[in-house]
Formats: sequence, C-alpha cells, structure tokens
Amino acid sequence: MTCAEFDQLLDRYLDESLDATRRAELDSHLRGCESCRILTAQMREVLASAATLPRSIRPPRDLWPDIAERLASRATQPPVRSIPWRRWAPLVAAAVLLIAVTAIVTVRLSRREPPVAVTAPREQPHIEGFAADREYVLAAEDLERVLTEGRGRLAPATVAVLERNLALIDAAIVEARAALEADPANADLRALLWGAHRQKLDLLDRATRLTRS
Amino acid sequence: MSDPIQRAREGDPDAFRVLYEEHVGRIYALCLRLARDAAHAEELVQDTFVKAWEKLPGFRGESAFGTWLFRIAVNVTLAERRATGRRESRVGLTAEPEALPAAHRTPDPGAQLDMEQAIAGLPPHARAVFLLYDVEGYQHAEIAQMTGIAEGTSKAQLFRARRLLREALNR
Ligand SMILES: [Zn+2]
Repeated sequence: MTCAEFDQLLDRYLDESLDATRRAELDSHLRGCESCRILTAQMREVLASAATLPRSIRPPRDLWPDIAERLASRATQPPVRSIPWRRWAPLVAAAVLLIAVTAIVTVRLSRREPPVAVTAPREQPHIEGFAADREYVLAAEDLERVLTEGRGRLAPATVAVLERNLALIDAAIVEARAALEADPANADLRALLWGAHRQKLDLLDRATRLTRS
Repeated sequence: MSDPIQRAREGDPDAFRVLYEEHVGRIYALCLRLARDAAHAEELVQDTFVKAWEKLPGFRGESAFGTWLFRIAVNVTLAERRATGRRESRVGLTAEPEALPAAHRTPDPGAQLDMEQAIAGLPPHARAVFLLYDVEGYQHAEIAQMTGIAEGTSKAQLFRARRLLREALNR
C-alpha cells in the first residue's frame, strides 16, 4: 500500500467503517510508515478537537422580540403575548448553577496542563494571602488589553467560545476566592484558585496570539 | 402542561417561545460558524424560526424537532447564500498555532479557539460539511438531503475539510 492509497482510506479508517481485511492492511502500513503515523495522529486530533467544540452558543442579545414581531405580522397566526420574566427565572437560576459546577470541574481537570509563556508566576506561588491573586489579575488585565485591540481579527464563533470560557473561569475564580476567604489555610482551595488563574492566562495568551495573523 | 410542539402547531406563540429558548443556542452556533459574521448570524437565526413557525403545521414528528429545525437553518443559510451571492467577511487564519506535542493534547479552551479559527478559514462548502458531519454528527445521506449536494460531494468535501484543518492546526 502506498501513502496516497493510505490517505484515501484514512477517513474510513478513522470512522471505523472499513472491513477487517482493509483495516489490517492500513494497520500494517502504519507500522512501517512514520509520516502516515503522524498524519493519522493529527487527523485524530482534528476529530477530537471538533468533538469538544460547544454545539450551543447563546446569542449575545435576545432575538425573540424581533421574531415575535415577525410572527405577529403573519395574518394567519394569533398575536404574540409576552411571557412574564418570573416564569423563566427558575430556569436561569438552574443554568447559572450548572455553569458554576462545570467551572469547578473544568479547573480541576486542567490543573496539569503545560505552562505557557505569560508574565505571571508559573509555579504555584508561595506568596501568602492574596498578593499572588493580585499578580494574576494584573497579568490578565495586560493580556485583555492586547486582546481588545486585535479582537476584530477573530472569527465571531472564536470570540463566542473565548467569552464563554472566560466567563466559566471567572466564575471559578470568584468561587474559589470566596471559599479561600472562609478557609485561608486550605491548600486545595489555593491550588484551585491558582489553577483557574493559570487557565485564564493561558486562554488569553492563546487568543492574543490568534489575533496576530 | 401539554406538549409545546403540539401547542405551537396549533398557533400558540408562547409555546413556540419555549421551543425557541430550548433550541436557539444550537441554531445560533451553526449560523455563526457558517456565516462567520455575528450580525448576519442573528438574521439567519430569526429567519430560521420564522420559517419554522410557518412550516410547523406540517411537522409530523418523523424526526426529532431539533433535527427538523436544524435542517431549516441549513436551508435558510445556504439558500440565502445562493440567492444573494453574499460575500463572507474575511477572517484571517491563525498564523502560529502552538506546536504542541501531537499525541498528548487534551481538549482545552485554547485548543477550542484554534479550532474555531481554523474552521472559519475553510472554504464555505467544506466548512458546512465539516460542521454537519464532525461537529454535529450527521451522516452523509442526511447532509446531502439538508444541503442539496450529492452524497459523494459531501464525502469529498469532508475529506478536503479535515486535511485543510490538519494543516492549519499543525503549521
Ligand atoms: Zn505512508
């Protein structure tokens, strides 16, 4: 099997829609060909990364009033009545709670990520109290300033994903900070706060670099 | 409380609003990625729900409501592009995505950003097929039905999209 033949069958290999014989041929080619091994690994990454993208993004403003107006103007349909806000309040509260829980999980999972080139300390700082917290806040502000300038060069879906993740991380920071105030000696909480800060800097740093194209 | 789909079919806009709230996030995400322009994506979302309201009496529940709505969104987006020949906003591709060790990259927000930006840089048809197949999980036959392209074309576009993304993410 040539590398070109391998490439032609790679998608079906990754989708696991090849029969056993074909699959064995590809496996055998992979064992002897480093460039196809790299290709396969990178393609798996593309697919894994696609699977992590948010499939739902809230619009930045409520689009319902405009839609309701257009529905009301259709002669065949009855006019639109608005729904009182309090009917939605419990749903919103549940969503906020979900976000808070997700943030903690996200931060816990991300604590072992490789460090990135940022101005804040990369190791968990030994500075006591809230001095380190302030360092991180200042570093994040620096990056946010740079990002604001280059933001127009990002695709809107990228911006939406960025904002969503920043909101999650900020919520985790607020939560960890509050917990730490109540229990200042708790090392786990310190690590949680530190992890959230570092994740925020990593995200801002990556986004800033995406704007420089 | 009765089924909001049933009540919306009977012309109850409050029930339709329940459906809107439930599905708007997915529809907006799709339109945002297809159109690559936030204001345009908002228009497409509105058009999608207005069209769904009109077509709702014909919805018989053969597919899930979400899938039915999704198909309308794809149609609205692609039809609009065909009709107006609307030019997309230009979005620069990422210049220097991090050269991370390939095998050990775990899903993280930074990688999501790189991926979004790389998807935005794909040609329109390759982008649409990639989004529907690899992000949304539809099969080629369904994509062919939604977009009006042949199944073989859908496969070819997916092939192209995946390789372009691999290049963009590993430069
Ligand atoms: Zn090879």
